[in-house]
Amino acid sequence: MEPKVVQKCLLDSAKSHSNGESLWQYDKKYSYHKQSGSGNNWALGYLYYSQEEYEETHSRIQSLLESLDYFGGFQVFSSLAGGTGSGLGAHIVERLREDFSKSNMMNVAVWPYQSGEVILQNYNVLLTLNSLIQDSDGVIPIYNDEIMFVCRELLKNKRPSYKVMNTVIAQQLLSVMFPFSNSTKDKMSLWSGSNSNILSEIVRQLCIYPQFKLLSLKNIPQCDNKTIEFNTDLWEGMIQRIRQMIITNGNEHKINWSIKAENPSTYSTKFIKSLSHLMVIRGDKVFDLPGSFESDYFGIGSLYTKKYGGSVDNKYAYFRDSHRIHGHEKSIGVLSNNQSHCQILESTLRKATMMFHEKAFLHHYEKFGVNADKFNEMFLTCETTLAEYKGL
Amino acid sequence: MMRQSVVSSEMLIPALRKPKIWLVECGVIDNKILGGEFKDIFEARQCIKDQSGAGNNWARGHLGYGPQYKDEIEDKVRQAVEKCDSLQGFFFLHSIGGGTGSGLGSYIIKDLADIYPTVFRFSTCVFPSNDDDVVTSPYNSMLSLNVLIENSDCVLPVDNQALFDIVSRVDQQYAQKEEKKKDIFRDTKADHIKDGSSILDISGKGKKVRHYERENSIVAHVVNNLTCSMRFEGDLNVDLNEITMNLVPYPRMHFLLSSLSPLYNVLNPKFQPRNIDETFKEALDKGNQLIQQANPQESLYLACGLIVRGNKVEISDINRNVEKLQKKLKFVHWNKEGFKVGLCNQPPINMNYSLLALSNNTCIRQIFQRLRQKFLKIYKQKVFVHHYTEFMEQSHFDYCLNNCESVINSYEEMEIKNNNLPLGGLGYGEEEADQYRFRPII
Ligand SMILES: Nc1nc2c(ncn2[C@@H]2O[C@H](COP(=O)(O)OP(=O)(O)OP(=O)(O)O)[C@@H](O)[C@H]2O)c(=O)[nH]1
Ligand SMILES: Nc1nc2c(ncn2[C@@H]2O[C@H](COP(=O)(O)OP(=O)(O)OP(=O)(O)O)[C@@H](O)[C@H]2O)c(=O)[nH]1
Ligand SMILES: [Mg+2]
Repeated sequence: MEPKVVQKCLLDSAKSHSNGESLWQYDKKYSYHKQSGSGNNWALGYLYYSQEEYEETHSRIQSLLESLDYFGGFQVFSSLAGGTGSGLGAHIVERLREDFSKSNMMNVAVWPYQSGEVILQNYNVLLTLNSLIQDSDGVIPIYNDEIMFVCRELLKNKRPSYKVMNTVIAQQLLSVMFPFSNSTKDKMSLWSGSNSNILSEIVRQLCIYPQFKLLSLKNIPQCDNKTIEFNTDLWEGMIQRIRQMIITNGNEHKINWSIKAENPSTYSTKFIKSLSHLMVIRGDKVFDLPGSFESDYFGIGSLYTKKYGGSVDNKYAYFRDSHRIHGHEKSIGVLSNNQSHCQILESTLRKATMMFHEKAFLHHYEKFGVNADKFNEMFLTCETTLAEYKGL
Repeated sequence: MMRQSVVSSEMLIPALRKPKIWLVECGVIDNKILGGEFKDIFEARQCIKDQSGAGNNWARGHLGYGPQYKDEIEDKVRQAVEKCDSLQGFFFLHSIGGGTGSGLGSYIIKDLADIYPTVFRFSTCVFPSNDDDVVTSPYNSMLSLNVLIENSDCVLPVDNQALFDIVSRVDQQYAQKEEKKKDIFRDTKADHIKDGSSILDISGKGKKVRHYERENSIVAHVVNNLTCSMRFEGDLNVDLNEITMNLVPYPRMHFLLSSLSPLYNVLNPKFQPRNIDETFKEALDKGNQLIQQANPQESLYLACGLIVRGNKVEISDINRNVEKLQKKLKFVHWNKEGFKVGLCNQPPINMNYSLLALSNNTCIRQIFQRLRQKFLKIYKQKVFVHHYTEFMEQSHFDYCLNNCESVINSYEEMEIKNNNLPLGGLGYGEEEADQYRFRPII
């Protein structure tokens, strides 16, 4: 929001574009800034900066859309903890939903460090989720703690900067979101749709129920570029690992193998049950893999909740792409709709409730028109969402 | 006559030094200050003068000069405000022991609160030291404090005693290090000037006379770090309004304890900073607090802000240290992760990095308690009261005393409440958590 913040984004992207690091850059024409941020006040972002700001952004979006020949949907990136990305972001999503009701809307939302960065983070996170759960098709939370962990343990970068972390986030997202280009399309009988709009695929596969909108992303390998050449993984090993990461909500560094995917008797509260998965397998010779490769590992009933019935075959979708991504000979990315967010959502709710109970900080929100009613609504939505997921 | 200013400049020393000046400058990035002389920093047009001070009488400043200069001051503020494209807040630097800074200063705070209700008002106010030479300073401070409680959004109280203690500690340390040299004071000072951390020439004056240069340089650094996000870019910007937003849970509990680290470097560039982890540890030490005897580590935290400046500091350095501090500090049960962090990429001149810690901690009540004692001591005998009743009712003293006590109480209650939580109630154990389960209010 602040001019210096926006300008730095524009400048950095132009810089890396001109020195050949990236193939794109932000267009100044479509940028918008005010003179100051929202001071971490969700209410300020959501209610105070609203009408004028939306009109300004709307006109930019409109002109951008007119210049496109194909439009797959909106993908909105923001943090959850601050005031602008979260508050104004939620407001914009809400309005876009009204104005472009048929377009796909996907949110990538950065969850703050659990050790605390912004004191109002729990309020702000929940207020934003409350809005996004209502207005977006799907929300992909990205955890700064987890990204930091990946940087430290897998990339051996003890002091990652935001820039490094953002690169990791981008790579994770791309493992699933990167467009497919099926040069061997004839072989791809598996490939269902004719248009390769991944957002539509995600919405169709993962965002079926209005009360379940939180998606979680896993990808492997997450290792450093340097170690790529030593990577002697087999496809079977990889798909097994990523499945284990999903059911234990773990990451590649330390995989917990004590919970068995095939054996429901090891079911514990720690077992993450899923509604559905969307998997993208990329790399050399993917089309030489047996046709039953994915179904052998993901076509297992015990991975999924029994609550909504339906055939197991419909619960996972998969795509193969014969291109390498980030130079990886083999890679898998899976986007799931499952229980993995329960723990963090529960603890965030608990902390926010305690603070709310003591009426702490509420006067800042009231000043800009967000009162106890809004908070009650927020707690209700989030508690309901949590309960629904826990009940899977 | 005045020491208030609304400034965002690299060097605020003159704001405190040059008496009889009222300074307004808007909160926009203003880099030209870095290179210039002091006289370039402050606009002469924004100066309001009077032949005499307020004679250490709050009532004269507040109720005499206040209404007298109201229009002129409002006019100058408006001129400055009109030049701003993004007004971040009003910043006040004043003592509360005298008559002008305290009386007229608080009058302006109140006045601006009426005219610009949505603009934040920050105040860095100097509390008198133990051996203060102004006899009426307890009265003035109490009367000012009342206004600060009611009309300011955020106050950073600074205790002159703490400033003196820090300066003399640095001198001692320096003496130990440089035993060979005889003229310690002059030597430190010479380094100072050469190095640019403090540019004021105070040559030819003895050590015993208080000039406040070095004391003020500490305060200047605090203000400087506080406002650095407005002037420089950083990975994690912290606007002024974010500070109030994050660190003030209840409107009246807006008094923040501040501390700097590395501190010696501020006063004496010869003390090289240690590593960044050390810096974080030091920042919350008792000795670094700008209020005497305040020890935040032994009291209860309501919230804690850490503002880091440095070009080689990464967000992960901060995060690592926040995790460490979290284990060490006692936080109120509803704000266990009560940290607000900021990262500005531009370090202060001559330093690699610098950390400003702002604590909303219950130990801050000590400064109010000390003030209350001093106040009662003279108020019981009603000395000097007649100077004040010329301008106001005597009952106003009682009102202010009450108000001060109610703030002390609210901090105390916060502590008591927290201590009385069931064992383990500070954590998020399942059972205790249950009582905090959300229930809609219908
Ligand atoms: N991963 C990642 N997280 C970031 C980055 N920048 C900020 N954050 C996180 O975002 C949160 C802070 O919110 P911001 O996005 O800075 O806030 P804002 O949207 O600018 O809102 P205001 O500043 O309050 O107006 C914290 O949790 C940060 O850790 C980034 O570049 N990468
Ligand atoms: N830290 C610091 N304290 C100062 C400085 N100048 C004065 N003080 C303190 O301020 C108090 C005296 O108030 P002053 O600010 O001098 O009074 P004034 O605002 O000029 O008011 P009048 O003289 O009554 O018109 C005493 O407690 C001094 O110790 C300074 O430059 N730095
Ligand atoms: Mg911001």
